[in-house]
Amino acid sequence: MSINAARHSCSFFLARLEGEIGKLREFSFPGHHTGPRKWLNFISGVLDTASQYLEASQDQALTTDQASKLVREAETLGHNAYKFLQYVSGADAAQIPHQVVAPFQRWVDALGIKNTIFFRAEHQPNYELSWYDASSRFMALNSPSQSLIEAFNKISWPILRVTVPSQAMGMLPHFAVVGHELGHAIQDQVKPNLSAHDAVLQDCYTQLQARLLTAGIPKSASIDVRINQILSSWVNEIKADAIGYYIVGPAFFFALCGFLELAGHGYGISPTHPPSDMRRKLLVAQLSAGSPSFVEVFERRTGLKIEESTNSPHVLACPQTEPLFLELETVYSKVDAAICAEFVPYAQTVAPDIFAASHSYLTGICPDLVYSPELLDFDLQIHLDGLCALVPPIEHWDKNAGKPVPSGFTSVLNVGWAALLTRLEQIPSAPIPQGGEASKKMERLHELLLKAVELSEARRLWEEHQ
Amino acid sequence: MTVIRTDEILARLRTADFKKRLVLSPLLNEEEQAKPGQAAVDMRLGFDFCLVTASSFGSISEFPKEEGQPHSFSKLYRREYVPFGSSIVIHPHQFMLAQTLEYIRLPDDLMAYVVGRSTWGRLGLIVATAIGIHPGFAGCLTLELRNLGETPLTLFPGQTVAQLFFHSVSGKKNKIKAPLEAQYSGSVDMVPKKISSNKTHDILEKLIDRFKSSSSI
Repeated sequence: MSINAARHSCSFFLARLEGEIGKLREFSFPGHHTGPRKWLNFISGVLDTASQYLEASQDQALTTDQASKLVREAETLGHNAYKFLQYVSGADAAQIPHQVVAPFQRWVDALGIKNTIFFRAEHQPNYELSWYDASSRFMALNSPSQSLIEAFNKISWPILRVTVPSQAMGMLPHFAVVGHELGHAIQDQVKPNLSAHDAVLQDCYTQLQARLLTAGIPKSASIDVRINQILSSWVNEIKADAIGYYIVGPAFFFALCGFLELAGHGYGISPTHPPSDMRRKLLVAQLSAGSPSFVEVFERRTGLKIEESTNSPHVLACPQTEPLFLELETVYSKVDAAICAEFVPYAQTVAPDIFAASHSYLTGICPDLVYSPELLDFDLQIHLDGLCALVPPIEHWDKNAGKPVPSGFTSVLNVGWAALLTRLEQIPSAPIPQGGEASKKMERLHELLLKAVELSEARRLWEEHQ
Repeated sequence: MTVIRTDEILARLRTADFKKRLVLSPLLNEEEQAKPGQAAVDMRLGFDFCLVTASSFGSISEFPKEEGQPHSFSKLYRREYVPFGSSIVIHPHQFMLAQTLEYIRLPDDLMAYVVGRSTWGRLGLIVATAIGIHPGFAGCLTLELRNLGETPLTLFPGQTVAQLFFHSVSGKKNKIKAPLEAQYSGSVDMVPKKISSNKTHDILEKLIDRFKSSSSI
């Protein structure tokens, strides 16, 4: 009798979840992106499998234990399906501007990322790439439903989910940070040779040991593992910064610094991230390199010289090792605090090689995706004055080709940042009742940039189907 | 005031002088949308639609002091985004707002009229009622669609639904130019923000207050 009650209870739970999925299927997902729908089909397949288990548990030939096991497995699947539903929250068109999804997908395709992917927003100041791989769980399932098999096979695992803060809906230029998150998706393909810096690594290691011994912590294998984990995280962050920078150029620098500025006024250093001021410094070094450099072009076209603190004046400079350690140990374990404090010089030393390896990787697989000072020069020359006169940077007339050429997403982001930082007073205010003059100008600028993204993508799609 | 032929319209699209340049962007198929020898450019249906929904509002008023009147016009509409390849159906006698796919900016010396295409008209679709576009206008045109026919019509973004006729404008520039701050200049949103200018609104509001206080005596 109790198994029967459990079966009914579970069946009710599964039906409610299926109802919820039905509602979500009616949502419009931005860009008619297939990722969220594939995910919903997968969850639906999990629920079908659970229902099959419940049905099978009624077979009179089964022992009570066998029937009970099937009901428990159905309950577990239902519980998992419930968690999977949370994964897709914020992916609908009401949360993310529909215009940006297709350009993001073009980045994804150009970077050779084959995984199923979707984008979603949450009310957190957070950009994040998360991976989910259901392969092992799927393989362990007995008798999966046909719908689950089909849904599973239509997903390229692991499925990737890019999260952006929902506030970013009002700040299109900040979406440049997504370049960083996609960098995480390909970080393992970027393989810098850092062996030339082993001496610096050894120095940092020696300093760490001395600090830990003073604190009464002896050398151990677990500490070595932790060093590897932290350095690996830092290297991956620098790789992701480098990928974002090479794809998006100055717009990435402004977006990242804007994010670091808004995220708080700390040093940004943690076991997962190197110090914020170091990341800024590395990017400015790249922006200043070459002739003409991004810095030169930007200054010539806008009058603004890009400096480390251009749009992040309150990001704090990371202190020297000793005071840094003392501050970090109030937040992290002594070991983590010591590793973070002692290995900053190593991160600084290896970063240029990581940038070089990232550049080399990108130019190898998608040279057209790499943004250059020459392109920035062209974009600002063609579009900046127009944007201030309410003409979105949708396209330009190519005299040689004798036809219009749609603007790239990166071009829109860079022109947008140039207008935001240097020409805002020229942008007319949007006629909205709420907000001050500055926010009305921002609203207008944002509308024009979104329109540019939408219509340049429309041109591209149209030409692809001629 | 002279009607401009398409060859001159196309020349104005490429004018180096930004102030004189006409912007119609993107013209996805120039030869088809601006046929040589004609005097109009076809406009395509865009992706955003605002559907008027049933509501509990008693009336729409510029002065929503009474109960049952919306304080924001956006509450009157349900937005629908329809991408390329998808469609939306307008039912008999239904009213909805749509946009041109093209972003338009008129220079100081041009104005335009937006007119429905006769093919759609014969099927019962009325495309625009507020048809004059002033010099200096910048934005996507909002189309007021109404199906006067007896059969539902399926609309696809990218279809040519309207045409623009351009006229040259004479007179002092600064007297006729639509100010950049005007309600619909640079507009990419269809929902109206206000009915009257600020000045007219203020005067009307004072008159309403005066009438109310005199009636309450």
